[in-house]
Amino acid sequence: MNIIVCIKLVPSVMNLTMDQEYVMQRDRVVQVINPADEAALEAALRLKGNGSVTVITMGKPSGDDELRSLLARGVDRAVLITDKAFAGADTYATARTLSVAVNSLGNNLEDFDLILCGRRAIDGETGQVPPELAILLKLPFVTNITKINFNQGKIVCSRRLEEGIEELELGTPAILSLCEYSYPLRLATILGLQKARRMQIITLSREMLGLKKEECGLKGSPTRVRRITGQPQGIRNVTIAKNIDEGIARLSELIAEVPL
Amino acid sequence: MITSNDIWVIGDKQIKYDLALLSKAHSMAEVCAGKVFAVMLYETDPDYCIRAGADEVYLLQGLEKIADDAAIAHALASLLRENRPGTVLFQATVRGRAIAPAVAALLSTGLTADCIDLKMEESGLLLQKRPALGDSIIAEIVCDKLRPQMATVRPGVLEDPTFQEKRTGKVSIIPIEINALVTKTGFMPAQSSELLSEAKIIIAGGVGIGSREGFEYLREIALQIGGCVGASRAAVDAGYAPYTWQIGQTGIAVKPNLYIAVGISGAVHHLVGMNASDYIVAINRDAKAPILQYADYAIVGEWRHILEQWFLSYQERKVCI
Ligand SMILES: Cc1cc2nc3c(=O)[nH]c(=O)nc-3n(C[C@H](O)[C@H](O)[C@H](O)COP(=O)(O)OP(=O)(O)OC[C@H]3O[C@@H](n4cnc5c(N)ncnc54)[C@H](O)[C@@H]3O)c2cc1C
Ligand SMILES: Nc1ncnc2c1ncn2[C@@H]1O[C@H](COP(=O)(O)O)[C@@H](O)[C@H]1O
Repeated sequence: MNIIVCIKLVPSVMNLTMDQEYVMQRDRVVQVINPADEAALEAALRLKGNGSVTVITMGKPSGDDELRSLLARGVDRAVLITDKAFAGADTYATARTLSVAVNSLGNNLEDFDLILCGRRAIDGETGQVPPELAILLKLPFVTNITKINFNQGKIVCSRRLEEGIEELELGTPAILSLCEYSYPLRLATILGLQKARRMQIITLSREMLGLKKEECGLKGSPTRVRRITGQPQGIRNVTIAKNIDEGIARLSELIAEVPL
Repeated sequence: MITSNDIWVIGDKQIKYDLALLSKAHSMAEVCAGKVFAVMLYETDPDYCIRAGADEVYLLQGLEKIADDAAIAHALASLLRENRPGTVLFQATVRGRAIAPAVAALLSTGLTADCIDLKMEESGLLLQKRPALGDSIIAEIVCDKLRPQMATVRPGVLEDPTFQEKRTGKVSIIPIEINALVTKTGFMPAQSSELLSEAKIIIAGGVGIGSREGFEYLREIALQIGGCVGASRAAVDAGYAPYTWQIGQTGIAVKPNLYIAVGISGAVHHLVGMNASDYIVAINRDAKAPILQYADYAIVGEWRHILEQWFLSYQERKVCI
């Protein structure tokens, strides 16, 4: 099975700064692999069989180390899509760039059986890229997956909804987005690390993808951040129980006040 | 046909939230002189929708068993292309957050995820507020060049719906033919004790609970008081509790009447999932733990001792009554 995994490198700290246009300043922060994408990658490595796993990421040029650490885990090919013009992309512009990149990788889509994504990235937290990518590539999709299997050439997967777990079936090719922790990512092996050092990371720019400036990044994004306000962090006026007995009595009162 | 200032609300199976969104849409439509359309993906009494604020109700038929979000999105997109409303709102449920981006991509327009507040300008421009970077900031987002402008709205953040008894509206039944590529073969409902997002009382444990057995104890208490158990990520990582209990940025967001945080330090990643709770109690042995600042009430001490004492008095009280 040939599988593409969309990986986003996300800042590992939450106190990021933004410039005047409200574009995240990613230069000075450590990047980590988005947790849900780790699950997508592990699922891909388990499912690939005799096929291949290609990782693609759109991000800043310094993603090299992180991508190499993925190659060391058994990824066959890593693609870094990077260009100044991609900065500030919203989910639609991101999905558009990724869709063009996916199309440029194979001669046609039939070369891939599956595209796996994370259910959402911890920085933007939208989860919108996978369905948008699916529509742009004209593929069926399922989000929020916790388990994937194959049965007689069909994908059989479990999807977590608020009210329970759905069992779903669909054919390939398709796009699936996985929940974090559903497949804990394996460690890199020493052999893998040695191999990864020699491997080439494919870099794609806007021009190589044949995208117009107006189609990507901030310019190609339908949505715009107009203002950012610091959230009052939810600090409350805490009352501390004088002693445990008082605390216990108050706790009982509070519970009794909640309507059934 | 040019775009109107009408607002479409796509109703997604949870009538309580759908009606709240309709009421919100109604008050926004008054600002920009538009009409409100309720597009219901499930069978429901259209009267409620009208009284909550809809001017027209579309009951889409034939979708009940459909699990193919892309196919549903195609059906919605063609309705939207015909009618061209200025605004389309979805619930930020798992399904809503799958269908909405597919619709947005089909219409080549923008979508804002998981909004916690919406404001309509007279011009018909929608200001969409959403938390970002772990709720540390609120971003105000607009989609100023394209229509429709679309948003998913976090369930439970809006005020309860207001009903106007005498409102009237038009109801149309629209049969939808779907050629589904994704089929549903089974469904396992979550146990009601697992429905954290609906719980009125949550007792959540952190690393301070120290063991799986400790979480069993929390669960026992939760059952007694009719609540649910939640957990911090560190407690889940430690194997004390299943991931389905995890509350916070990489778990679920909750908003109970009463949240009892036991042995949880109060990392921002956890706070974002629970600080909308009506009332927060922290039980922690460290009086300097950050969670205390985010709580309404705190009891400082060993959790086990506190809860065992409380449990005794609670049972006694029940016996007295
Ligand atoms: C990208 C990312 C995403 C994350 N997502 C989430 C998320 O979704 N949810 C989440 O919760 N976390 C999340 N985290 C982790 C988060 O940053 C914290 O590490 C975590 O919330 C800490 O859990 P804790 O409070 O249980 O543990 P600790 O920080 O170790 O706190 C334990 C607390 O228990 C108290 N305690 C210890 N023993 C006792 C006792 N006997 N009696 C009373 N009190 C006691 C201590 O005083 C302390 O305050 C995320 C982190 C990252 C980087
Ligand atoms: N810049 C990107 N490069 C590669 N994949 C991405 C990128 N942004 C988002 N994705 C994928 O889409 C998923 C959901 O991201 P988001 O919609 O931003 O929450 C991620 O978990 C990734 O799998």
